[in-house]
Amino acid sequence: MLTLALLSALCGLASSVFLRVADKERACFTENLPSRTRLVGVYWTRLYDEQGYRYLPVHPDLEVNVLATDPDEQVLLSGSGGPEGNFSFTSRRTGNHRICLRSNSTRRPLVAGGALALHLDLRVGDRTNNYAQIAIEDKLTELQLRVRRLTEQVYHIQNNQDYYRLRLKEVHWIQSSTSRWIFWCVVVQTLCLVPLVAWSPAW
Amino acid sequence: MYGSFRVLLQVLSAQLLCVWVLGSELTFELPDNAKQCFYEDITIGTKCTLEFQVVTGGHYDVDCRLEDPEGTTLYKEMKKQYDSFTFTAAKNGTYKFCFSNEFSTFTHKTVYFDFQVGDDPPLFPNENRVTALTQMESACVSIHEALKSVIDYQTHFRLREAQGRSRAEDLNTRVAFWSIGEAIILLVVSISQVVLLRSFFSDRKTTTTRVGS
Repeated sequence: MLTLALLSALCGLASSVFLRVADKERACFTENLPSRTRLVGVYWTRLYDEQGYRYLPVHPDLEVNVLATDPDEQVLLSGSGGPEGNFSFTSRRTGNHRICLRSNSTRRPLVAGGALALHLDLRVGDRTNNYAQIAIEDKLTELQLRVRRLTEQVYHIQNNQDYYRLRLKEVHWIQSSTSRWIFWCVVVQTLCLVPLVAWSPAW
Repeated sequence: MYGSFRVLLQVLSAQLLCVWVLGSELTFELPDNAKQCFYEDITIGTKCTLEFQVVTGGHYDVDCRLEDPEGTTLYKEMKKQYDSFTFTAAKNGTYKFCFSNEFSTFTHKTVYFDFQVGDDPPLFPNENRVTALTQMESACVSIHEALKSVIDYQTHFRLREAQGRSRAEDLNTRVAFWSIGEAIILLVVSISQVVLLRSFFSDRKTTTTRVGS
């Protein structure tokens, strides 16, 4: 059991897409989320030595600032963590949410020629669930856990459908606004031209 | 109690099978004249898929390039709106893919990409041995796969919708400015035309009167 736990911890360092950022450079991402949707982000950093073409571990003093804002620019989450960490929030509104990460190595500056390799994994909706934990907390059997996973997926799909309904209403409003502009433009032009044509001989 | 422990053990063992969920989907902003690269460590023989789509900005196109650890270009497309590329890793190492907006002078682009490496992890190790599953469990697995593809389609639909909404908003703004502009120009031209014509006739009347007397 202990061996399994240790091996499991090691496998937590599974790879993910990463990008190279300079120190204090901000990396921002957007997530278009329906409301009441959970987002979980996991990040970890390595130091990239450009001269040696290799990756080195970072010093534990490295800070990573995380900032998440909602579509109205309200701050949902703001905090600092170490070189590895995770964050999560639940969206209150539908729309584009912004997640920014910025490294800060003030206490222990990076060596010259070094950039940070920032690994990031953003998971949304049913992919945020930790089924091992759910199985233990709710005391579920195998079949119950499978059905639970299906329920979570269906809930996520329903959420997405509600989101589309809202978005379609918005697009409908925008298109009818465009039609109104064109209609009133034609009306105004007619109102200008007809008197001009009718009364210009008299003038 | 024993059932839950067995489930925990199975899920933990499944997590150890590290041929596993290495995949990310991210949406980021690409400023004009900028290039953004992402990297991923992949082991040899792993099937990977890179999918990308431009969500907002300009002509909704971007340059994309995928290179293997030795710098060999595996995929290169210029000014693409969306695409999907599947390959099997022939080498161990860090693969790099870059999105470039260097051809654009002032439009920022928002780009979505989904880079899937390997397959999703099974919930339990049993899932890979089809004969060991009961009918109920098989049905659950089938439904799970179907729902996964529904969620995937919904993601693509969401991106298309965002693109469509962006175009509709652009069109609405342009039509609004064009309508106001054209109405003002028409009004100014009409009034100045009338005033100009009147001024011609007023001058002639004065001249005629002078000649007569």
